[in-house]
Amino acid sequence: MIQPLDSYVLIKPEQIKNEVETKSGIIGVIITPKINYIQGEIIAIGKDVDCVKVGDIVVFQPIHAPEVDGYFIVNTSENDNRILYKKN
Amino acid sequence: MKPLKNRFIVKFDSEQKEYFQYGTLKLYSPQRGLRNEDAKVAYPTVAEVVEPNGSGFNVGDLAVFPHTILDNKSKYIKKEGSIVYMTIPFDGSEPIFGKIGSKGEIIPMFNNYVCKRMEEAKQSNIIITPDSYKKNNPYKGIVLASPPNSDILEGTTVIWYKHSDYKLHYNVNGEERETIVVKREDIVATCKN
Repeated sequence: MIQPLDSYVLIKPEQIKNEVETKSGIIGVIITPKINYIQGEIIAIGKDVDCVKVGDIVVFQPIHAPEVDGYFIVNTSENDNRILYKKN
Repeated sequence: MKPLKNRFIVKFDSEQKEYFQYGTLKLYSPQRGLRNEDAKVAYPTVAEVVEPNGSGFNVGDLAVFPHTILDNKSKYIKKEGSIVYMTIPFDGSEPIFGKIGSKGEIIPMFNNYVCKRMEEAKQSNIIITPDSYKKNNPYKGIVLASPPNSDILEGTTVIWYKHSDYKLHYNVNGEERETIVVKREDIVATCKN
């Protein structure tokens, strides 16, 4: 279990899948590549986090954020500006 | 000689280029030929603390820091023969790693942690990877030594930013030593199994 420290949060990214039907009728799955912004759910928060809470859906920038076991650890401090907005 | 706030005074022998001798402890600088192009390797040097001024050092401790700090002649206070006295700030503006212990180990200070890198998880049970091809996990490591009053204890698995784990390469009494040092601000999470 990963416990973020200080102003960091642990985010489970949503994987967006687009199904595409080819000419032969086979349904292929395109998984969107890592892009500038990803939507995800906050799984755990550090002790200094006050702008979001566990369960929030947020849109964030994953660049340079440590990615461990498919989860991102993102800084919520204003200096970093990693989390753009929350959806709920 | 009293240092100003957030500074301590050290002395070093400016004629000792190849090594620093302190009592029985002899710290060699790495040979130029041994240096590689790995940007994550730092070559520290040491100096004897004369006036700790509340920095956490004791008089006579050997402070460990990058060798470039000693080249800053504007911080020199006085020279007695080849012995140079200089001030070093400990407010975070200079990267001071810690001090040398009695066995030549690095005792971390000032929000530095001595860590061990962790290997990447096995991808396959069929293919046996030779040791030379084993890769370290770029994010994970184990804390071996913490600075005083730290919230992260020794033995904790931590996650840090990629490329924030620096290897200190030095030489004690002719023996090559390597230590991985990570700053507190680069550690983002702890891991529990």
